[in-house]
Amino acid sequence: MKFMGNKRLFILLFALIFFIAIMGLTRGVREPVTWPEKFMNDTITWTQGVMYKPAGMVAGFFRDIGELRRIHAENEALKHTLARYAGDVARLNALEEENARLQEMLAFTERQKQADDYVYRIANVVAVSPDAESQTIKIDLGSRDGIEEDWAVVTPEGFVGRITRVSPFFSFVQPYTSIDDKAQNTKGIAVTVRENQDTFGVIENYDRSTGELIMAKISSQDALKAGDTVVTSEFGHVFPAGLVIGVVEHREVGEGLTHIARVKPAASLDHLREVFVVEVPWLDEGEE
Amino acid sequence: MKRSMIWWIMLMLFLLEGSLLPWVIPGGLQSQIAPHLVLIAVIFCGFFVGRHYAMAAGLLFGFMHDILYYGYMLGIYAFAAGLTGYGAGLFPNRHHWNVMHVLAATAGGLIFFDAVVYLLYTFFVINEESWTWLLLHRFLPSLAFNLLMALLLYVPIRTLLERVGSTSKQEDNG
Repeated sequence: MKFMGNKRLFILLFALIFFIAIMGLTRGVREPVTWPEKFMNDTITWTQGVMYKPAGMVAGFFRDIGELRRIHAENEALKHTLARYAGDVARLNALEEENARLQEMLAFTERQKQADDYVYRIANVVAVSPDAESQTIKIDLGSRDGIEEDWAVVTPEGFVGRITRVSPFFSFVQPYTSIDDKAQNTKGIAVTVRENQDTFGVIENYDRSTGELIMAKISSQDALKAGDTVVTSEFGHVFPAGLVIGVVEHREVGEGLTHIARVKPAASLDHLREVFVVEVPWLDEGEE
Repeated sequence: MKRSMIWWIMLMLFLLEGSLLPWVIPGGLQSQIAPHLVLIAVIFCGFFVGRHYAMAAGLLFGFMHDILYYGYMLGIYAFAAGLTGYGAGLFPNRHHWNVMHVLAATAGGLIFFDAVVYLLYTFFVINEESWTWLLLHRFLPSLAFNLLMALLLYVPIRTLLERVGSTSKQEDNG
């Protein structure tokens, strides 16, 4: 009995070569999204979006029933927070007014004034890739809505990922789990910590086995310590400054003279429903 | 008419894979379990219709996955699913199988698929984890989940496919 004939083996080898060629060609940076891809994306992803949202609502309904008691306690806590919030808003208004007045006095340029004027645009998640190695997330804002590549995507908890491809009605979000300094189509994130803005490091990798991000290139004299909140730095020029990435778990000596820190991501990628795309008006104006 | 039915069902499964299934999988496990509903249907096609039919389905839906969830590169799923479908059509005596045979062979197909994808990812330096870690935290949880799904899909898909298979048996004997 012949398991595989010569012809079959030949075809298999040919297919292997063909597919590896395709993979090699499409690996890395691919700038334009071709029209068949756009068309398929927009039609199929639309249908998926129709299902993703109701499914999430049903799942959320059952989870809510289970958590009814906890929600009562949470409600109490939120009422207390709300009272404090009212006081903070009054203070914030006063400070903002003073800030504007001082900026006026110091003759800030229009661009400097808008530096932290981000627009958070809400987007619904319509599908999540069923592949544990590349968990591409798709959202229902596309180039028709003015979305562009490399914009940051966040949840109220923190940073989720980066827009990598845009079709007319939907966009691809590459989550932080794909960040890898060896891959060509991912980008490191320049970060600092909220407690001490002099700190500098780069999120370069994601350790799948521990679920932590690796922050590298930290100077050995740096004051960074476990428990600090890692946020995006203004030196990155890809993402707006101040987006929360996660919390430093611990710090260790890395390669050479620099240190690395392990960062626990603040946002979970499980059961995402809505995300925010961060639009920074001055960022693309400044580049042109 | 029946023949086109399968394609619609596979398209439906493809849509569910990315939209409904993330909600079925419990919260903490979402990064561990990769649902492969379409692949299960492709493997069943290989068992009950024929290897060429399954290969065509695997190539088509694999390529759709590659485009719609573009992450690293195109072609990985198309190649792996096409090959798995073709391989599923090579098992002997499969028209006399019962549930256990089918599930065992499906498990084989799923493992084969994961292995091919793993090898290709390793070839392009995307995996950095050790083989054993991936086995424990990715492949085995996914396999358990997918076998459960295969059990749910078994009766409806087999009934449908055997009707189609009986009409296209002549071309399969080639």
